[in-house]
Amino acid sequence: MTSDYAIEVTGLRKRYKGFALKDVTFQLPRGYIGGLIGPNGAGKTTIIKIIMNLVRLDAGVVKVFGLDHRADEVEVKSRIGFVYDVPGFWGDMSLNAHRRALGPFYPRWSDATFDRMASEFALPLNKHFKALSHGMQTKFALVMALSHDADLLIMDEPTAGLDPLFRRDLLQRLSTLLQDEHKSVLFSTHITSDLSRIADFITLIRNGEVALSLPKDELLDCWAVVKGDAAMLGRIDPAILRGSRRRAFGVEALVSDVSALRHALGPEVVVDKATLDDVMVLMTAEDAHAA
Amino acid sequence: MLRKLFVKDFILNSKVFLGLLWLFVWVAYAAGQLGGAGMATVLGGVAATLMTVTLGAREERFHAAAVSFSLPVTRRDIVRHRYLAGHVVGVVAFLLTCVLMVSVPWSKQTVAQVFDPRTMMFSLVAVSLTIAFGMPFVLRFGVTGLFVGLGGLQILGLLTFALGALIGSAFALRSVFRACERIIVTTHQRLGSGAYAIELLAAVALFTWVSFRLSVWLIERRDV
Repeated sequence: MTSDYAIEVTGLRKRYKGFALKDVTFQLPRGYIGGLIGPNGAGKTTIIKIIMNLVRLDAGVVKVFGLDHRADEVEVKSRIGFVYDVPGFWGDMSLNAHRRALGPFYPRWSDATFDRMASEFALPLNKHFKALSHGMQTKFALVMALSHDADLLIMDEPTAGLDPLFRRDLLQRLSTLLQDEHKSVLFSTHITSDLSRIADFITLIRNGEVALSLPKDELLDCWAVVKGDAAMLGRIDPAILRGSRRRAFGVEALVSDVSALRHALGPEVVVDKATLDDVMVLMTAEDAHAA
Repeated sequence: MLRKLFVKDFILNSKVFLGLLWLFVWVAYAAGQLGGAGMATVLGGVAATLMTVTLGAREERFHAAAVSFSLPVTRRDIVRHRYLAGHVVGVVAFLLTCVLMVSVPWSKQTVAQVFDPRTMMFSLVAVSLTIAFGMPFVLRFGVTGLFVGLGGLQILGLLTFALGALIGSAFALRSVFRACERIIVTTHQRLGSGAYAIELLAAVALFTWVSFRLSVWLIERRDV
C-alpha cells in the first residue's frame, strides 16, 4: 500500500487520570520534517508513544506510510528509527553488544553505516552504555536509529539537555538525511529555535489538543504579533485572533493573517513577524488567552 | 523472529547468566542438605526457574522496555518468546542445579534419587507451573509485581492461619494443607503410570495456555 503521507493521525484519544488527548489529528507528508511543539505535559510524548504503539490508544487511527500502526506493526516498526526522550538501553552492556543484539531485527540494518556514524560521533563502542554522558547516549540512540536505513525517523525531545554545538550538529545531520526526499522526520521539542531551522510542518499541542498544524512557511509568512492597547484587541477579527496576553505596556496579540490585520487596523499599526516562540508562548502560556 | 529475540536476550543478559552460576551453586548446596531427594529436586527446580524469571528485572532496572517494545516485533511474539525462553532456560537451569546438587560436597542426595524419572518429571512440571504462574505477573507488573504477588500470597496465608486460630477452624485449615500434601504425594507416586503422566502433562499444557493467553491480554494493554 502506498500513501503520500509518512504519518496520518486521526481522531486520537487517550485518557489518563488528570490528562487526556482529545481528537488529535495531523499529517506529515512523505519527505518532510514535522515538528511537534508544545509546553511540557501538553501530550507530545504520549502522541509519539501511541504512534510507536508503546501506549495503547483509546480511540482513533494511526497510519504510517498508509499502514495501520498496530495491524501492520512489524512492517511499520521496521521502517521507523526511534530516538527516545531518555535513551534506555542496557546500562552494563557495551555499545557493540547492543549492535549485535538489536541490529538483526531490521532487514536493512547496515554494520557499515553503524561503524561510520559511530566513528563520526566518536562513540566508544566497547564502553558500557551507562558510562556515556547524556549527549553521547543520545548520539548512540541516533546511530542505532539511523543504521537501518529507516524511512521515518521519530525523535522525542532529542535535543533536550544537549549542548548547543551538538544540537546544531544534530540538526545539520537531519537536514542532510532529508536530502533523500523519501525520508521523513517527526520530532518533538519545546526548543522552538531548533524547529525554525529545519522543520517543514509544525503541529502545536496544547492541553492534549492540536492547537494548530500547518506548514512552517505559511505560519512564518502569514502569522504576526501585534502590540497595542486593550482597545486594539476588540478591533481584531476574532477569526484571525489566535492568542493574546497582557503586558506591562498593554497587550500583545497573535494573528494568523497579517494582511487582514493591516486592513482592519490600518498601515500605521506596529506588526512583527511571528516566530515559533511567539506562537507557542501566545497560544499556550498560562497568562495567555488562546482564541 | 523468536530466534532473534532469544539471541537478543542472550547477548544482553549474558553477564547475568554467568552471575547466576553462583546462585545455582548455592541453591544446589541448600537443596543437597534437605532430607528427601524428591522435595529437594522440586525446590531446586522452582528456585532455578524463579531466577530465570527475574531476568526481566534488568529491563526494568535500565528502563529498557521501550527499546524492546519499539523493535519490529509484535507484543504477542515477545510473550511467546518469554514463555519459550523461560522453559528452555528453566529446564537447563534445573538440570544444572540437579547436577550440582549431587556434585557439591556434603550433599545428602544421590544420583539415583535425584535423577529418578518420576522425580525429574514431577520437578519439570513444577518448573512449568512456576513459569505459567509467574510470567503474567512479570510481564504486566515487572519482577517487582511478581514478588509483590508472592508476598501477597504469604500474607494471605498468614491471615488465613490467624483467622483460623481466631475462629477455631484450625482443624479445617490443617485438612486443606494435608489434602494439598496428599495431592503432591499421590501425583508423584502415580507418575509411574503412563496414562496419568499424559493427563498431568495435558493439565500443565492447559494451565500454561491459559497463562499465555492472559499474558498476551495483559501485555497488549500495557503502556510502556
